[in-house]
Amino acid sequence: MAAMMRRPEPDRTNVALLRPLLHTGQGFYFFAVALLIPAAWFVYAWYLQLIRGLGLTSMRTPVGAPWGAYIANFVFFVGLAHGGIAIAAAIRLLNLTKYTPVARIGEVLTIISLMMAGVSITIDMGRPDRIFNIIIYWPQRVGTSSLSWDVTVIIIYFTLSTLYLWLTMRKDLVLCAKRFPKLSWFYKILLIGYKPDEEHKIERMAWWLSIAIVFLIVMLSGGVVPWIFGLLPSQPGWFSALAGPYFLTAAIGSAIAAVIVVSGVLRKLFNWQEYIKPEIFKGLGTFLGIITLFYIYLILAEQLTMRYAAPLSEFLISEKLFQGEFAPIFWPMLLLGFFTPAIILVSQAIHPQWFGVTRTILASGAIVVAFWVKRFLIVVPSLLRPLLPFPEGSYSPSWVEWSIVAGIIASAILLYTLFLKVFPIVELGEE
Amino acid sequence: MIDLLLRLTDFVIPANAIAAEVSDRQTMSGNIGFIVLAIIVGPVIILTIASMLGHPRTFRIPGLFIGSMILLISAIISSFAAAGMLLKLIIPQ
Amino acid sequence: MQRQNKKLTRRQFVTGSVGAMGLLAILSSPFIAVLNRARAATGTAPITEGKKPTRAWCMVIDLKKCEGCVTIGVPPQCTQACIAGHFVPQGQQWIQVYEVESPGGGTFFMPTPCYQCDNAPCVNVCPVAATYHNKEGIVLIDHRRCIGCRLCMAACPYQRRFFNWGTPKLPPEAAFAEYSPFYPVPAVKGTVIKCMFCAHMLEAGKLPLCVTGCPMKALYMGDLNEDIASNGAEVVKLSKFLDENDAFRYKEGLGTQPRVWYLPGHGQAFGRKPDDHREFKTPTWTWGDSGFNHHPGIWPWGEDF
Repeated sequence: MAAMMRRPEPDRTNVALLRPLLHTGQGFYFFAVALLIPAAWFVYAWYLQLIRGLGLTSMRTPVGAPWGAYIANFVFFVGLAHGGIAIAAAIRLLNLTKYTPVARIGEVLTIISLMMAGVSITIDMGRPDRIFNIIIYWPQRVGTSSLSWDVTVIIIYFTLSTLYLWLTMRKDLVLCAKRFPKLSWFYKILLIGYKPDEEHKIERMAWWLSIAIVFLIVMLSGGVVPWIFGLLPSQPGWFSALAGPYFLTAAIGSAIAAVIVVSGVLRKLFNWQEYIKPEIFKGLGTFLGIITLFYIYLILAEQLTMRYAAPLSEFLISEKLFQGEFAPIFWPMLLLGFFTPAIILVSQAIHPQWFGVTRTILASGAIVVAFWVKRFLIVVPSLLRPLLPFPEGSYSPSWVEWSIVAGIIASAILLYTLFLKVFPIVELGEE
Repeated sequence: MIDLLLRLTDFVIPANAIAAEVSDRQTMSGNIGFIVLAIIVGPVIILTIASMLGHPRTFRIPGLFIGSMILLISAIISSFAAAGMLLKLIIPQ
Repeated sequence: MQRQNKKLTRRQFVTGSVGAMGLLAILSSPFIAVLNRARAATGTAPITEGKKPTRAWCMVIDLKKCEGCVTIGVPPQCTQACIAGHFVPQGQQWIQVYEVESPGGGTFFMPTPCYQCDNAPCVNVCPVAATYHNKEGIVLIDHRRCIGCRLCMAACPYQRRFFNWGTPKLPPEAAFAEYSPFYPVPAVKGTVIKCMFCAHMLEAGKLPLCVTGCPMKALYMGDLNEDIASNGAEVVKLSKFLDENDAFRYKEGLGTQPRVWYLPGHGQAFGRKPDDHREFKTPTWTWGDSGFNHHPGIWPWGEDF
């Protein structure tokens, strides 16, 4: 409040949009502590895993799965990293200015998700202390190793999306530097070399960078990440040219759903009903509904191929989902996580009077959860099928794995909250 | 000279017998990855360069952009090294 | 005039930076090659080219002779010899014998070492070149380099790679072994491990432990270059031996080009009938308790969960 008083003519919009920076109430501290607890527990669980080894997870070999919840989490977070920047890029390229208020909400989601994806993969490694080996041997291995491609493309994508966020945020940072003298040293670092006339150039750069980023989205979530799985003929259920489109659709779907959820929560929390208008949710919701229906079609195409005249091994993987040990999560995921929300979202588009913001947010939340489950169901069942004639294993994550997965999600939310406290999450108006 | 270099790289890359043992035979054509990466990274480089050229002919923002890009990528790579060193202290070797 | 100047600097900058990056890339590649070569020169590799003919090791497994050691009532002796010779962590069987069902309801036994594929999927996917072919065609793993990402395990169509989920409990003498990729003892926590055709024995001019350990002499070690194979009791001409016995490779269709051939059979050389359902004994360890320690330890409420 004090900061607001000092301004002679406080611009109403900007004050409202800077609310998270202006006020830090009790609620924030409760929220932060509530997130710090699982985050600290995650650090402890990881510490145990570091000193004892990956044996603390439920992953086992040769009977069992060598990959599990961590890899599912990695794929999930890489997927989540595609919505925000995709929305931002679409706004710029297709001139969809009405979605501008949620652009940065998504961009931040992208950057934090990518960090969490990196954390997930590091935790999954047996020897994370040798992580630098990936860089050292990169020139030697990039010729054939799909994992080296991944590291390359993720680093490029992370760099470009961070720089995109930075460039497009600069003009708001000027305002922040003026308003918050305490933190102005920090904003000034980010505003290095600022001149008021740079906006035009940044607009142009952002436009071209949007194209580059959209292209990278296709090549990352529809390229190198699915190719880790899709290029391995050893695992039935993975080896498929569909892997690319399949993962890409999942990535965009989960990401848009997450953007809807995050925008919805922020809107309620900071009373931004005026700025993040219902039609934003309506538009994104309709798009999400269509994407989810398309994803259901991809599941159908995949499962039909596996079941119709396929080799026995493919059929057995499909059977694990339909009737086997994974049926209790596969069917709820399909019906409650994909089908019902998609129908709700699409029917809202057909019948405008059925539209409700809360309903859209709830449906999107269900879709986000379902996409995590789906990643788990992509990674695990194929690995459980024995490749030699020995008994079949089973896998369900141990408490260490659950703690770490929950902790990573909590840390992501925590980082997001911290970002809210330092940067304007919605583009500010002119002052 | 080469000895000094080797000793220096040994500091980062512990030398082992691999280089002597490893076969020259490529199991897979070793350039598929270069083709894949060229297809992915090539257009990105072209588009990034395109973003810097063009009408408002200022050098300042593109310069900042390139500078911070190099800074960020080296920060990521050095964070790999830092994470590795830190974890070496925690993990019983 | 000023504008002209600016344009020049920008263009110079763009071409300059692109050129510099390209130059750096071009310059660094021979540098890496030189370093590798230099390292090879200073390395303590036991292989000295030119003095010995290059081997191309392969294995032939005669299923006619393999009866899973059920007729002598012991666990498979190849696995047992492998475990004893390499201090294999409890639960891993680098050469494992499976009882496979035959079409008529009978069974046959199939010993499965690492197939040392010529076109090895594991070597292709490794992001740190920790798994590699040596000059004799053996797929080795350097456990000082492996990061434990387990992509090779997902890539291996034969599931012949194992993971050290923790620090294995090994007999004290394992600690005195001198580690090399040829002889990966003691097993390193958080890395992938597998059969390496007993490269340490081959180096010393001896047959692998499983070959010498097999009481039925069902395993042959061969050299594709010299076209011979031996099981310790007889020496055969490899190509003729494979032809005459209808040799096949497991999952040939995957194109991995394994270096292990099977000669079909069900142990008939020792009078075993396919419907002989004598109990197949699983290998035993004298160390390692129950495999890796999967208990969290410093867990607030006790050791177990």
